[in-house]
Amino acid sequence: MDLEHVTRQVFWNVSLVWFFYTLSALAVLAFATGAYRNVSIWLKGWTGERLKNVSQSLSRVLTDGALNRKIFRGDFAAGIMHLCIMWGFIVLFIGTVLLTIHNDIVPFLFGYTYLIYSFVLDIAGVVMLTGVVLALVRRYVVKARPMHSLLDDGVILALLVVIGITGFTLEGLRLEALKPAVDDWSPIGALFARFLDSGLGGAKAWHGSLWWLHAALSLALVVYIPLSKLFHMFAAPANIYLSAEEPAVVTLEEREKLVGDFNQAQMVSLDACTKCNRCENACPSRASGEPLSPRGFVLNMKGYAKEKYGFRARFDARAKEAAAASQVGDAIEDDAGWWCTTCRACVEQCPVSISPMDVIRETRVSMMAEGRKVPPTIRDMLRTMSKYNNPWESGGSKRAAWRKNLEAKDFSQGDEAEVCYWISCVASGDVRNQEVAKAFISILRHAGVSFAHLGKEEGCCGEFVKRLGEDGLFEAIVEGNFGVFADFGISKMVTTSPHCYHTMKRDYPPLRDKLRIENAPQLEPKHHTEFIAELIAGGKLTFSRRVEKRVTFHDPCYIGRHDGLYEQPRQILRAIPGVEVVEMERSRENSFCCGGGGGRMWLESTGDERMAELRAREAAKTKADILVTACPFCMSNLHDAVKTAGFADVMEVKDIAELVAEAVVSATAYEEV
Amino acid sequence: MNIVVCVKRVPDLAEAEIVVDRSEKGIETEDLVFDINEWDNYAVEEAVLLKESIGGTVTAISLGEEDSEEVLRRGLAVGADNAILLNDRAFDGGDAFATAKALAAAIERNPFDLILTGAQAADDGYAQVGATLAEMLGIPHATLVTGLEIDGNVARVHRELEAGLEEILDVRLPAVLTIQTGINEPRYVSIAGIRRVARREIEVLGAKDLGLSGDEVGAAGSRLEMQRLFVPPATQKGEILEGSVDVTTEKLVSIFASKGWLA
Amino acid sequence: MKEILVLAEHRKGELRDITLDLLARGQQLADKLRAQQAEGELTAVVLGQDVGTFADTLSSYADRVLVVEEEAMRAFNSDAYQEALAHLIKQRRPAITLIGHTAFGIDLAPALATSLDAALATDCIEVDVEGGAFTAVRPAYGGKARMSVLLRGDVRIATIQSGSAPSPSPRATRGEIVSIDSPLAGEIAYKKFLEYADTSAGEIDITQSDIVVAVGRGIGDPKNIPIVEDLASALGGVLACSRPVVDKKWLPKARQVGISGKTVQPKLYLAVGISGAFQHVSAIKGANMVVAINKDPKAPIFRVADYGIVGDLFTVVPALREKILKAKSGK
Ligand SMILES: Cc1cc2nc3c(=O)[nH]c(=O)nc-3n(C[C@H](O)[C@H](O)[C@H](O)COP(=O)(O)OP(=O)(O)OC[C@H]3O[C@@H](n4cnc5c(N)ncnc54)[C@H](O)[C@@H]3O)c2cc1C
Ligand code: SF4
Ligand code: SF4
Repeated sequence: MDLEHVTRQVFWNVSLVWFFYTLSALAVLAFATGAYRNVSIWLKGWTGERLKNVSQSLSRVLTDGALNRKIFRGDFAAGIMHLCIMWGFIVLFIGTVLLTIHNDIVPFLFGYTYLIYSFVLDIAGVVMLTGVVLALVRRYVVKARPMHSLLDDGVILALLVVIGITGFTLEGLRLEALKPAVDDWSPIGALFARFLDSGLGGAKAWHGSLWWLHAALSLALVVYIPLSKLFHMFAAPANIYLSAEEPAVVTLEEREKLVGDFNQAQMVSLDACTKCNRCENACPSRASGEPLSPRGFVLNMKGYAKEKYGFRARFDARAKEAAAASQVGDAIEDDAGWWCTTCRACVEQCPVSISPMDVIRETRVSMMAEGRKVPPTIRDMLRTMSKYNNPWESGGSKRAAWRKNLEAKDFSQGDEAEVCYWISCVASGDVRNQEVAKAFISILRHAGVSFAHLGKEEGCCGEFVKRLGEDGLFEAIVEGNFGVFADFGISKMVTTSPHCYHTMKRDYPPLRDKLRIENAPQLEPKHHTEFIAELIAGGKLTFSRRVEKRVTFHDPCYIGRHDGLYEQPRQILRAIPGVEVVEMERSRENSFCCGGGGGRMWLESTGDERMAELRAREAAKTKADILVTACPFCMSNLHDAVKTAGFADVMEVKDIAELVAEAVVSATAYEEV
Repeated sequence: MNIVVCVKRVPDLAEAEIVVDRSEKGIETEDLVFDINEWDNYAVEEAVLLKESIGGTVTAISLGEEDSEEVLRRGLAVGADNAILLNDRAFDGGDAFATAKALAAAIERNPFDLILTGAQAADDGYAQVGATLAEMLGIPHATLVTGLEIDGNVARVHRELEAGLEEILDVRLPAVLTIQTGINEPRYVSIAGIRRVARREIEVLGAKDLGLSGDEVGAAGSRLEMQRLFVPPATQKGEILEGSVDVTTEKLVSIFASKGWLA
Repeated sequence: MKEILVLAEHRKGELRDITLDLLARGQQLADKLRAQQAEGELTAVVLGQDVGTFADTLSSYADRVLVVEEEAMRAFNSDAYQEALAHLIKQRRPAITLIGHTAFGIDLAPALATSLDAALATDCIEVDVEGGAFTAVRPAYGGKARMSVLLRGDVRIATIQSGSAPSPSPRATRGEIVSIDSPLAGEIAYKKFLEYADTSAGEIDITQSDIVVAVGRGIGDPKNIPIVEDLASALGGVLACSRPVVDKKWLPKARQVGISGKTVQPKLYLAVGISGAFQHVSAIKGANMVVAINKDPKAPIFRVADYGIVGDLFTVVPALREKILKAKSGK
C-alpha cells in the first residue's frame, strides 16, 4: 500500500455501530442538559458592568487559562501536571471531533495528514496519562500539599487513567490484528502492539470488547463533566476572562433593583473552583486555627446556588418554596462569614482567578441587610459608627484635641495647604499609632511639604464598613467625606493607613460618579510609603543619621496585594543609611496578614494562635531587630503580638515613617514634635 | 397574635455632656446624638422574635416629634408591620402618666394581645409608662422582664429582682410587659434595611384623633409638674487626681501603698 | 393630711434594707409636717403572711404599724398588693405614700397610682414638703442631671431610690401594731407567682474579695477585658463588671455588681469605664474606698469616688498596672 492511501478504518471490528451512535447522542444530550443547568444558574446572578479592557482580559485567559501561569506559581510540578492533563485532553478531544468529521462528513484523514494526526494523538495520549499519573502520585502518594480529596477527585483521575490506557491498548490490539503494511505513526501504539503480540492470541476478539469499555467510559466522562469539578474546563476560562477586573461598585440604589445573591461573574466563579485548596493553604484565618476556609466557602455557596436555582427548585413545588425562602445567611454556619480579614491571599493564589474574598463580602452584604447574623461586637461598632462617624464611641472631641496638639496646620481652623494629611481614626485613637503620626509629621516638615490635617472635621474613611458589607453606611460616609473635601478644596491626600488609602483610591471614585456627589473633587490619595519614596527620589530628604539595624518588612495587605506597592517600602528602607533589610519567608504577594483587616479588629479570634502572633514568630526567625510595617492595624496587632509571643526583648515593631524620621530628623527636633 | 411595642427616641448618654437650656426644663440637644432608647431596642427585637416564632403582627408606636419617625422606621426595618407616631403640640411636657394616656388611647383603637415597652427610658428614667398603660387599659402587667415564653393566652415571664434573683410568673394575655436589657440580642439594622422601609407609611395621630382633649395630655394632663432641671456638681465626695497619666497613676499607687495593699 | 404611709418590703422571710430608707425618709417628712402644721405621723404598712416579726421590728421606727395578713400576699404580687394598698390609702387618705424604687416598687407603684388617680414620682432621691406642697428630686439623663417635680393633687405616691436616706435610729417607745382584715375579694387569677430562680450563681464569688476591680461598657470590646483583668490580678483582686457587660455576654452574671447583681463591700472598689448609674453604685456603698477611672469628667461615678482619674482607660490602666507591679517588686 502506498503512503497516500494510508488511513484508519473507523469502527473497525465494531458491531452495533448504531447503538454506539445512540449512546453518544444520549451522552451529548445529558451533557447539554447539565451544562444548560449550570449556565442558567450563572445567569441568575445580576449583570455587572461591561468589561472595559477586553484585550487585557483575553491576554489573562491566554496566560492564566491556556498556559496555566498561576498553577506554576510556587508549585512547578503542579503546573506541569495540569498542563499535561489539560492539553492532552484538549488534543484528544479535538482528535475525536476530527475523526467524527472524517468518518461522517468529509473524509480527509489520508496519507501524511493521517499519519501526522495519528502521531499527534499518540503523543497527546502519553502527555495526558503522564499528567494524570503525576496527579495521582501527588494527591495520594506524596501528598504534595494539604488537599481535601473527595470521591469526585478520585473518580475523575481514575476515569482518565482507564480511558487513556484502554485507548492505547486498543490501538495496540488494532495494529497487532491488522498488521498494516505501513505502520501508523503511533510510536506508543506500536509499543503496545509489540508488547501485546507476545501474550494474546485473539487480538481481534479482545479489541472488540475493550472498545466498548473505552467508549462507555469516555461517554460517561462526557456526562460527568457538568456534574463535577470538571466543568471548570468551561467555567475557569470564563471566570478568568470575567474577573480580570475588580467587581464594580454597586450602589444601594442599584442594588435595590437587583435580584440574586451574587453578580454573574461570581456565579461563574463558583463553578470554576477546582478544589485545588491553594486558597485555604494561604488563608491566614485558617492558619490560625479559625473555622474559615475560602475553598469551603466557595463550594458552600456553589451548593447553595444549585439548591436555590437548580432544576429541583424549578420543577418540584416543595423545593421551589424552600428555595424561594432560602437566603444566603441560612447557608452560612454561625460566624463563618465574618472571619475573613479580606487579606486577598486567596485571590492571589487562586489559579483560576476566583475571589473567595469578594464572594464572602457579598454574603456579608446580604447578612447585613437581614441583620440577624451580624456578630454583636460588629453590630455595636457599626451603630457607633453611624452615630458618631468613628468606630470608637463619641470620643470625637478628645481625638480632635489630640490633633490640635500636633500643632500642624488644620484645614478646619481655616489654614490652607497643598496636601491633606489624613491621619485616620486608628492613628488618632490609639496611643502607639499617635507616635507614628508624629513621626510622619516630622518628615513632612523636614521635607518642606505644605500640608494640613482636617482637625475636628476628620471622620472615618469607612473602609472596614465597606468590607463588612454595610454598603449603605459606607455610602453615607463617603458622601459626608466628599462634602468635607469639597468644603476645603482638598484633592491631594496622604495617609499612613493603607485602608484609608485603598478605599479612597478604589472605592471612592466610582461612588463619587455614581452618587453624583456635587462639587466632589477628584481625589489623589497616596500612601505614606509612596509619598516618602517620592520625597527621597526627589532629593527632599537628607539622611543625617545612621540607623544600624537589621529590619524586616511586613507587607500590609492593603498596600501590597490590594494595590501592588511592594517596591516603595523597600526602596525607602534601602535608602536609610545603616539599615540592613532581610525578607521573611512570606513576603510581598505572599505576605501573611496580621489579622486586622475586613472588620476583624472587632471580632476576637477563636483560633489557636492569633495571626499576628504567627507573623511575629516568622519575623523573629529573620533575627531582625525591627519588624517594620506601614499600617496602623498591623502596628496595633503586631505590637501586641510581639509581646504576647515573647519577642519583646529581641524585636521592636515600628512604622516605616518612624525609621525614616529617626534618620532624617535631629534627635531634639524629633522629640519636639 | 397582635403585638404592640412602644418606642422612644432619646439622646445617647454615655459620654454626652448634658447642658440645661434657658427654660430650665429641658436640655440643649444640638450636640447630642439620638437613638432608640436602649430598653426599647430589646423590646422591639422581642416583639419581632415572637412574631417570627408564633406569627402575628407588630405595631410600633412612639410619642414624640417628627424626628421620632427615625426610631419607628428602625422598628419597621427590624420587622414591625405598622408604625404610629403620636405627634401633637398638646403632648409636650407630659409626664409618664400623660404619655401613657395618649398611648392607651392610640392602642385601644385596634385589637391587641400583647404590649411591650422598655423597662424605662434613658432620658427621664420614670420606669412607669408600661405599668400605667396596663392599668389604664385594665389588663395585667409585669415589669423588668428578662425572659418570655408565650403559651396560648398565657405569658410565662421571668422578672428581674435584686441580687441576681428572678421570679417566674404566669401572666394572662392581653398584658403589658416591660422589657429589661439583656433579654435577647437585638439584630443589626442596616442603612439598606431602613431604606427598604423608607416609603412605608407612618400613621401620625394628634390628640383630637384619639378623642383626647388638650388638658388630658401633655403638661396639662400630667400629675407631676416639672419645676426645674439642673446638673448637680460633678464631684461631691472625693478628689480628682490632676496631672499627666504618669502623675495621676503614681499618686494612686502611693495611696494604695499607704494602705498596705501593695505589700 | 397628717399621715405618712410607708410600705415595708420583704422577700423570702426577710425585711429588705430599702424599708429602713423609707422609714428614715418618712420620719423626716412626718417631722416636717409636725413642724409646719402641728400634726404629722409615720405609719408603716406590712402586707403578707406570717409577718408578725416584721411588725415588731417596724414598730421601733413608726408611730403605727398596719398589718394585713393574707396568703395571696405571701410572696410579692403587685396586683394583690395594689388592691390591699388602694383600699388602705382610700380609707386613710395619707399625705403621701412611700414605696421603694425596687423591682417590687417599679411593678406596684405605677398601677396603684393610676388606679387612685394619684401623682407618682419615681426613683426619688429627695422628697420635701412645704406648705402642704410635696416636691421631689429625681435623677434624669442617666444620673447626669436631676429634676425637681411637684406632685399635684392630694393623693401622692413616691418611690424612693435605695440608699438615698441615712439609716433611721430606733425610737424609745414602740408604735402600736394594728391588725387589719384583708380587703382582698378573691384570688388574683390573671397573674400567678411560680417560683424564684437564682441567675447569679457562678464559679466565682466576688463578694469575698477585699479588692474588686470592675469594668464597664467603656471597655468597648470583649477582647479588651484582659487589660482590666490584668490590673485586677496585679492588685490581687477579682474582676467584676457593670450590667451592660453581662447583657452583652462578655462576662458571666456572677461578676455583675449592682442592684440586680451582687452587692460588694471590699476595701477597694476600682471602677473602670463605668458611668456610675445608681443601680450600680448603690451596691458599692459598703466599700471603704472607691476609685474611678473614666474619660468623662462629668460621669456620675466621680460623685461617689474617693479618688478619680479622668482619662482614657486604655492608657491609664496599663500605666497603673505597671506602676503597681513595680511598687510590689520594689519591696
Ligand atoms: C432595674 C434595673 C436594674 C439594673 N441593675 C444594674 C446592676 O445591677 N448593675 C449595673 O451595673 N447596672 C444596672 N442597671 C443598668 C444601669 O442603669 C446602667 O445602664 C449601667 O450601670 C451602665 O453601665 P456602665 O456604666 O458600664 O455603662 P455606661 O453608662 O454606658 O458608661 C460607660 C462609661 O465608660 C466611660 N468610658 C468609655 N470609654 C472609656 C475609655 N476609653 N476610658 C475611660 N472611660 C471610658 C464613659 O465615659 C462612660 O461613663 C440596671 C438598670 C435597671 C433599669
Ligand atoms: S481574603 Fe484572606 S482571610 Fe479572607 S478568605 Fe481569603 S485568604 Fe482567608
Ligand atoms: S477557590 Fe481557587 S484556589 Fe480555592 S480551591 Fe477553588 S480553585 Fe483552588
